[in-house]
Amino acid sequence: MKAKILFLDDIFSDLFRKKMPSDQLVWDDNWVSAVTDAMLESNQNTDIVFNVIKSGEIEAWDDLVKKEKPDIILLDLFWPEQAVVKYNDRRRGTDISLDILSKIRKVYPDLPVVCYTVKPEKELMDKAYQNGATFFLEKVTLAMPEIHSPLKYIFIYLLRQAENKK
Amino acid sequence: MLAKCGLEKHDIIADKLFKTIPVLAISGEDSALDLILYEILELLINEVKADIGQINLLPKGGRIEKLCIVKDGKPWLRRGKDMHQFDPSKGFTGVVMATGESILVKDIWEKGPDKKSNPFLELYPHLNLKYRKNIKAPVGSIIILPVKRGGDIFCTIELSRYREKEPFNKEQKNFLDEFAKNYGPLIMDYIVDIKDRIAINTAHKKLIILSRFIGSNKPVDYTDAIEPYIKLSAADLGFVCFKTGGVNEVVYRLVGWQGKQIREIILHGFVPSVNSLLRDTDDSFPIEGGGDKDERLRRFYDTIQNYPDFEEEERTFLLKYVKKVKSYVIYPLNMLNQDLGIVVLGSRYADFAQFLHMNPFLALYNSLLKSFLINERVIYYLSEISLKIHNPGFYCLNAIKGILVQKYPEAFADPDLSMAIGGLDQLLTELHDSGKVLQWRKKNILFIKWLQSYITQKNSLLPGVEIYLDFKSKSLSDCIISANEEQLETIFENLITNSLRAINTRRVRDFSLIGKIEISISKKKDRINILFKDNGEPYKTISGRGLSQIRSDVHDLGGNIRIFSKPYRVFLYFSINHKGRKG
Repeated sequence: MKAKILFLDDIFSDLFRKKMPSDQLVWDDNWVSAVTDAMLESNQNTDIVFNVIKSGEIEAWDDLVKKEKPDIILLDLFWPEQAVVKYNDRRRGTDISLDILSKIRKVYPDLPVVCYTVKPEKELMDKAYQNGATFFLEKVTLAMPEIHSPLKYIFIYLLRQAENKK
Repeated sequence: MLAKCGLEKHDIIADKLFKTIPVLAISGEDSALDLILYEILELLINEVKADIGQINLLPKGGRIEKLCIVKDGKPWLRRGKDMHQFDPSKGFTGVVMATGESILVKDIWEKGPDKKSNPFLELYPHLNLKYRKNIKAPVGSIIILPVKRGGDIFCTIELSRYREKEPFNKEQKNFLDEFAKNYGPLIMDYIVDIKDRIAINTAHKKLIILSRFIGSNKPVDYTDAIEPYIKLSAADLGFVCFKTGGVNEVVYRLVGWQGKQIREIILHGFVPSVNSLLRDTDDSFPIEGGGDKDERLRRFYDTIQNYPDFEEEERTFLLKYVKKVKSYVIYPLNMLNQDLGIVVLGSRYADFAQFLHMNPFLALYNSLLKSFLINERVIYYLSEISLKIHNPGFYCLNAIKGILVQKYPEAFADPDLSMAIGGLDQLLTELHDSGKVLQWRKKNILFIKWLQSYITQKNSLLPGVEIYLDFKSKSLSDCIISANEEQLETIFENLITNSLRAINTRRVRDFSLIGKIEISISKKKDRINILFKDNGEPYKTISGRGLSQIRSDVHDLGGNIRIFSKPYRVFLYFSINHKGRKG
């Protein structure tokens, strides 16, 4: 069985990559490789092949979802550079994703959305669930695939739930 | 009869004014000042049978302006006509300023033996076209009176009579002189006091708005922040250059004004020239300058011409603008070794710098604005630190952990090393959280309690207006809404300001009107409904700013707002936060 994950993270956006010096981007890129490796490694136990589409174009979520037809969205919650553009205030990084999350929910009420953030807070978790998150997770920034492997099993659970709803 | 009572005619006029002015002053808005000035001019005009009257204010360090012009019994000068500023050293006013004496000119068009002997004819071609056509062209004779504070003339009153009429005579001038000498300073001082009070109100309102912006998650409205410089200074054009952003990413915001026009231009990647005042400088402020050979203006002109990132239209606007500046005063926005920008107060008149300096109120506003800007910068720096710790800080620390686990597992198992890494993790987490401390958050507010205390404060600050609260449902006092005091203040402040304008509009016809604002509150299901009414009358609005601000804040609180015009009512509701209920 195949499952497509749309991975929306500011790490993939031009805005972020232009802002961050290349020697600092290394840590992000290593982490992304670890997450992707964890998803893509051959998995005889689950019998599901994950296909990860990475994008930093959060504002283009609608076109992306229409084009890619993902089974799950993995949504990073913190988008400071996009907040500078939209609100002229980098502190509103989570407002960007929470706003998009509620928009996704209106158009796709059943599409599983896993929200992901470094150092979560209760207030943010409550808001994410209020705006339609299916699952709220702490982003572990260790660049080791085995650390991220459990993510797959959360996805599988959500896929099964979605399947049962149909 | 008058002589019997020991009263002269000018005493009677003064007596009338002293009775009327305090009633007119009550609203504390610009409109009150217009009414008072109109009243003074009308009395003097009637007394000497003039057709046109003008009151000009000429304080050093404040606005030089034509405060009021009355023609044929009607106010002629409207706010925003861009005719308020004038050069008091020219024309017959210039003669009065130079001699300190009043002047009677029987025919302002009479040419003297040489061109220079009639200063009015010399000035005439440079006057504003409308002013020339309506206020000067039909006039034959004039009287200009100086009003002094000590030896300084801070005001002039000019009365004019049409050409086809008999010119003013000496008795009329003597009468006016006597009035100006006995009562002029007292009345004009009172007017300046009212003007200052209005100015403080303006500065105060702007500062409150600014502080709310800083206390919220909304960006500062720089265009709004510069309004006191426009209203309280003699500068008819000028700009404030705000230096914003962080240590590595400076963004300059240039907010300029010219008459009524205000523009904000954002300069990304702008590098000030070597001797620019926007760099660290040893120059002592404030700096006066101007004239065709002014090096600073020329350099600024060149910088604009060569700056690559302007839209052509922005460049043209700025170049035209700089060309008009004939004199200026520059104040720095410096505090605690932080360059926050500069304030340039400019004028189209040469040698005008002495009038351009900030008056005490503007200087106070300027100081407070600096504090707010530094506050904004501190928040920016803190959030930048938090952001850096978020990324790459945590990624970097965890990369170390990952490398140790994979390549040096024994070292990772060393309790001393784990403790050191754990300590570093904790430290980064603490710093990350500290960077978010100065953040806007909604909280649970007992709405009725908040509203009652807010209205009590407002009632004590607004003479001549009564605000009533009418509770239409029981158990309102328990209603909690998820909001922030700044948001609620912005909403109610705007609604009350709109009502005050409407009340003051009606007051123009009815001085004795007691303003009434009624706020009815009721509860229905999950909503608190609010109905807002007043006894004012419709007025013309220039911008819908207040309304759009109210709308966005009400929506943010999960509510809605509707405004009905006939009769004026505002209906709004907020969602009750049941989860926020304590116990």
